Parts: sequence; structure tokens; C-alpha cells
Amino acid sequence: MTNTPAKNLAEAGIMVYDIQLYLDTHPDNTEALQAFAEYKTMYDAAKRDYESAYGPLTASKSNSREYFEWVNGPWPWEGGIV
Amino acid sequence: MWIYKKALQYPVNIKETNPKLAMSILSQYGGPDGETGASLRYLSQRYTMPYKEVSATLTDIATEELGHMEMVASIIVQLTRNLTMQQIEEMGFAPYYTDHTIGIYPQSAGGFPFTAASLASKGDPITDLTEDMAAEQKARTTYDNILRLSKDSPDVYNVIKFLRAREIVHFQRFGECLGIVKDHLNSNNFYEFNPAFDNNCN
Repeated sequence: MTNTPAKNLAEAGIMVYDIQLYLDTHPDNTEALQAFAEYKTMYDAAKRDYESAYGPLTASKSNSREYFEWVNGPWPWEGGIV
Repeated sequence: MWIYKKALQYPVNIKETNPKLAMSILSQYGGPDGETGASLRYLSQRYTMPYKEVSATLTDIATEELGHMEMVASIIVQLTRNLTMQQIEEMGFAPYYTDHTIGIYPQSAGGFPFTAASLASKGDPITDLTEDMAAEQKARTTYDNILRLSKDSPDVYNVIKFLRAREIVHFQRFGECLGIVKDHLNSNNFYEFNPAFDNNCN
């Protein structure tokens, strides 16, 4: 299965979040801290791809001077985001 | 404060219409062991939690549960898209439709509206974390029940499997939190005092 912007974002996103929860209870674990930094780099790259396909993930990333892109769909619950 | 991210933690793309299955899954939105209650439980408990690792865990798991509310709602929205009146009547959706049309309302599968009575915030770290571990297991059981009901709906099944796995991770983290709390207490009597209340003993 080829990786799509949404799949890459979800895959990197769950890794970052899962390690974040682990670090909450193991804040001095250097191995987990390193993995956190590595997956965060992956997530940031996936986020750039995703935003160029589907628009801003957060309202503050709307840059247009003509139209507030944030209001545009698709909204996550509508589906069809691949 | 929170900042909304316009994406789901795990994408939801459901093609079929199945209001019957939607009614069962609605329980994980507003039912007794659902995501709304989970998030509210952890968000409320963290204010009296005296240990920083546990405050962080409660904050981050509560935040993830808010995202899970949105995922569960997305499943229901997509399962009830393009409903015909015949499907509403034949697939057990008429009672819900009468009150909410196809709007998303926090209630249990049996129709009971969301109630904070399904969660606790006791102001005692051992008590609260024990509640949280039980809550994660109750949510896991509910997802197991939903999995048995969604065998023929692979798009739904995969999302529910993801959510079920998260409950197990959260249970693990809360177990570690309970260990962190006990490390701060008297190992001869963990219940000697309440570290969230008897402040001279911290």
C-alpha cells in the first residue's frame, strides 16, 4: 500500500504521541528522548506534505491575504482524506 | 489552553451506511465508559495531583481522549450518511432519529444521556488512578463488544481496533503513575495520609 499524506501524518503522529505518553512517566529515558526527536522530525515533514495537500492543520497557519483558508474543508469527520 | 488540529489521530473513511452499528458505537461518545467521560475524568483529576509526571500523563491522555471523541463521532457521522427513511425505520434508528435527526448527541447505546455520574474525581491520587485504570479496562471491554458487532464492516473494525489498543496503552501508563505515587508514600502504609490533601506530609 502506497503511503499517502494522511497515512504518513497519522503514522508519524501516533509514534510521537505514544512516545510522549511514555516520556511522561519516564522523563529521564534518553533512548525514548532520542526516538521522540527523530519521530518529531518525521512528523514535521509529514505535516508539511499534508498541509500542501489539504490546507492548514491549525488556524494560525492560514497565510492568505484574500481568504481565511482555515474555514475550507475537508473537515476531519467528513472522510475522504487520504 | 488547547489548539485544535484539523486531522484525526487515525483516519476514518467509511463507505457503508449502517445506523444500527452507529447506535452501538455512540456509547463510546457519550456512554458510561465513553471518550467524553474519559477526557472529563482526567482533566478534572489533574488539578489536585501533586506529582508532575502524573499531572503530565493526565493532561496528555485527556487530550488524546478529546481526539478520540472526534474519531468516534466521525464514525457515527459517516455510518448515518445518506440514510433513507426505510433504513431509519428498519435498522433500529427511529427512536434516535425522532429526538436528534442525524445530529450527534452524547448518550449511551441504550439512550441514556451522558452523565458525570459515570466518572469520579476523588481528590486522592491512589483512588483516582485506580479509577482511571478501571476506566481504561471498561472502555477496552466496550470496544471488544463493538468489535464483535462490526466484523462485517472492515472500515469501522480497523478504527475500533486502533482505539481499543490505545486503551491498553493508557492502562499501562496509569499503572506506572500509580507506581510513581506509591514511591512518594510510606511503603509500610500507603494510606497513612492523602498527599493531595494532608499537605504537611508531602
